[in-house]
Amino acid sequence: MSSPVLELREVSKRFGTRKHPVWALSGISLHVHAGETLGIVGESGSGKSTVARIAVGLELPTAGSATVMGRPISEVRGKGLIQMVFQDPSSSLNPLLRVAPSVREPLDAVSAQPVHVSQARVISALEEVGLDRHAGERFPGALSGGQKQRVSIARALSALPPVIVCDEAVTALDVSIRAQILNLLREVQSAHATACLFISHDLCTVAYMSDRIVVMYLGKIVEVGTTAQLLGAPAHPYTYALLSAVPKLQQGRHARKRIRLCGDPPSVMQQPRGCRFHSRCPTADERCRDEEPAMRKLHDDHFAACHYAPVEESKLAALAAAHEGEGA
Amino acid sequence: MTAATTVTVAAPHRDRGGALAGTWRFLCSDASLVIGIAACIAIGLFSLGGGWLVGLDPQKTGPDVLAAPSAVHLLGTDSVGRDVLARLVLGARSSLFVAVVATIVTMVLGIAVGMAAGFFGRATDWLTMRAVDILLSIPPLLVAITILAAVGPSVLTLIIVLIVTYVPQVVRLVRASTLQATTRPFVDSARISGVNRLRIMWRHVLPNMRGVLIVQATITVAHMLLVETVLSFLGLGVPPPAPSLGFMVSEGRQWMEIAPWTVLAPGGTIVLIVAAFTFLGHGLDSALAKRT
Amino acid sequence: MTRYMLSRLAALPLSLLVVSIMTFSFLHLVPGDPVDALGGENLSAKEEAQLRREMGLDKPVPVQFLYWLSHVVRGDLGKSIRSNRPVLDEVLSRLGVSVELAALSIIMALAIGILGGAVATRWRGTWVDRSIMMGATVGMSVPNYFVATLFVLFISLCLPELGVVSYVPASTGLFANLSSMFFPALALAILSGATFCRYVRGATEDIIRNAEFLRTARAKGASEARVLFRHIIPNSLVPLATVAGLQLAYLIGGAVVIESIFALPGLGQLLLAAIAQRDYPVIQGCVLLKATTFVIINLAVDLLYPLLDPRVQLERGVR
Repeated sequence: MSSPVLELREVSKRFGTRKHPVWALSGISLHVHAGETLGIVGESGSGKSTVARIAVGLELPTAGSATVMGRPISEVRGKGLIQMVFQDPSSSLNPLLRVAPSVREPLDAVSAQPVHVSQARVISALEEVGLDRHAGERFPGALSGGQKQRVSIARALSALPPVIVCDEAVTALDVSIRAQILNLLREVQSAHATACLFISHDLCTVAYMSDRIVVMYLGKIVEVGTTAQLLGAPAHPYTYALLSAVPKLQQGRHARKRIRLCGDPPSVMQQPRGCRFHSRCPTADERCRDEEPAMRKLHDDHFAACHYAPVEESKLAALAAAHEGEGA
Repeated sequence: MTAATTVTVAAPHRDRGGALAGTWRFLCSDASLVIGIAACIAIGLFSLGGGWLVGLDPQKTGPDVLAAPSAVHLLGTDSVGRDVLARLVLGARSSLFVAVVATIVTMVLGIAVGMAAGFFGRATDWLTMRAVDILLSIPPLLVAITILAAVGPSVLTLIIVLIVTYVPQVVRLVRASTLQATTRPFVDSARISGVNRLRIMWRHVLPNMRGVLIVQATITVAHMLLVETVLSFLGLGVPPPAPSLGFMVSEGRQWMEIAPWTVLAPGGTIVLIVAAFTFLGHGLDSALAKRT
Repeated sequence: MTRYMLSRLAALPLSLLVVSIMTFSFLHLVPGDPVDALGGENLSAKEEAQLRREMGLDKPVPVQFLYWLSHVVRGDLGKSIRSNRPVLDEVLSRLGVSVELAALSIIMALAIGILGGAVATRWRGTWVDRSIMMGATVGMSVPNYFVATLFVLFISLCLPELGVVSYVPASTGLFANLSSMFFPALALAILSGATFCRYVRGATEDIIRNAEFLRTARAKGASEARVLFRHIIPNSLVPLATVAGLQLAYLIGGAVVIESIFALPGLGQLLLAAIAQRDYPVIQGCVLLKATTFVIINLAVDLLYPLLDPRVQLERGVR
């Protein structure tokens, strides 16, 4: 197995002051290999955007290490090794620059090349994302959301980085356009054997794009495994709840009993003791309240942080229904 | 390649005339803006070329003292027989000169410091903002008056005093705009690409603040004009015998009842000049807001 | 609430100290000192040096400052070099006039501003709106000394029975006092009023563009005017409060020019004369007063916010 292109080891990130710290991430470890897509799924406050920002070097970890091709990310900035596609197409591009200069920016930063070489690269990048030759001369304001996002992807790819990070890259797009952009991402990724970190709150999108998936909750990873493992045999109650929330039509034959989580997600600022999920977990008990579960290996590549994983589906459903009945 | 069939992006046909037509439409989009531009052009022409047009020497005293407006002296004469209109031209010119030069320097300094504070953050920011807070807590007119009373008024001192008074405000505004601008993802993208910080400021942050900066510049000119006339009213402006609008109002007060034009003419001119820039600033603000 | 107020007040001495230090250093940096102002060329170098020693001006600046500070802490602001009266007396005797002028002028300005803004909002988008806003723009461009001069002209030509325009203290007669203050206050109010008018209109525009609740109110059948007065205007007052507060604080410090034109014995006059004469104790005392009023008024405005806008929370507590 070749070494990972992007690796985070025990990364923690603290925001706020020493007296009032907010730990957005606690001990996150993940890795992505060349050509592989690792999906990160989680709700607001799970820390997935922070992971994205650390992966591209916009933030530095408070503890732990983040490396690209074995080198610390802080060193690697500007060497064209990593790029990002952002959520909002409208503010991802400088409205005062035409498309071509925006796409060329990562390229110029890497190495000063003769103009015609970078021009050619820009045109081929734009073609690759499915935009025609006039696109380069336009201003972003003249483009639609989908088109702008294609430009963002072209920009991310222009310097041919080995890793790209997509942070909610399709969330702001119309549903009809989403499929196009997702397919585009898959194609360009396989064409260049780019590693991809794909982040979203939508499990379906993540599952469609990813080879392996990481499920995050309140700054910690609760489960990680291949897409097949997570969809077929989810081990952590939270993963199960996420899956069951997907509308039944999409689940088809594998439709699951719906597990409703009770209560609101706790605030990142007041993290519960013990397992972070215990306040909403239908199967939580004393042990869950006091002891934080460690990441346990269930099969090859499949890990979960839960004392009782894998929980049986029927038991989970029964407990959840009971909780609901209590009007919790 | 099934990259969902190439998406056609319409060619950038230089839409209806292109950049120039676009600018013209922008400039006509708001009534205040049109008034402001017209007025500023008129005043510019007046202060630069008016002297030649009027043809009379503003410093020439004469026997025809406190004469009412006539064919020869369109706005009458003052207490020593000098033509009021000719003096207005010179007075307008000097006030505009002081205000515009001071504004340019203030904006350059303010932008440099404000962007640095907003962009480099932490220590630079904290220091800058504390300095700004302190400077803003001192009554500005007081500082101006004290310096001028002590050092003696002159064009240079006036300009410096105005700059010192208005830089803190500009710094505060630029810093706030910079902070807002730097949160936008395209700035992050440039950072990820490793673009040099100064280049990011120059290419991504500054141009996107243009509107705010231009409005601020015009408003600053208007304010500086007002302050300059107040100072000259108090006798601390451009030293006589050079005509200065505020001082002309002050002088004219003595003769107000028998020769009201000695007060109304310079006063009215001040209002017109300041209003021109204020209309320009408000108009730009409205037009920019309409565009988004 | 009380804790917040107390903590803000606790910061007062520090900011006053900073302002005093800055003023003091500034005064001593600028060339010239009281002795120059007093004697001019009439005194010989020896006599000048003598005077300086008497006034303590020969000591190093920080020492002079500490000396002044030690007196201030005991409530003694020193004596005016010009008049030899205690600074505190000089200031207090004129404070009433300036405060009255400031208060009257702010009230008028608020009336002009809110009324103008409300009318413009009511007829939003029509010529009424545009003319009021343009009128406000012009109003902001008129220097107050010019307005004041015009008023004086107007009074002398049209209201000769008002006689020589001069100040009448309240003790003589309230009506006379108010009428003597009317025009000065109005002269000041025009510029502020025009600014307030634009602020109010700008705020109402923001509200109208963004607020969904207006649709609900209208759907319930509220009339235009009702909607306006119950909902839009009160919300537009919040940004106005800060500006008005600043303006008030500035005016209390003394409206130099207006006071000189209308011959009002206020703080502005005092300060102007003091600056001309390099009367350090008076300048320091006035600046101290100005800074104090500034902080207190700022605090009052901040305390007023939650009343105007219930969403505002003063303390950075846990949401």
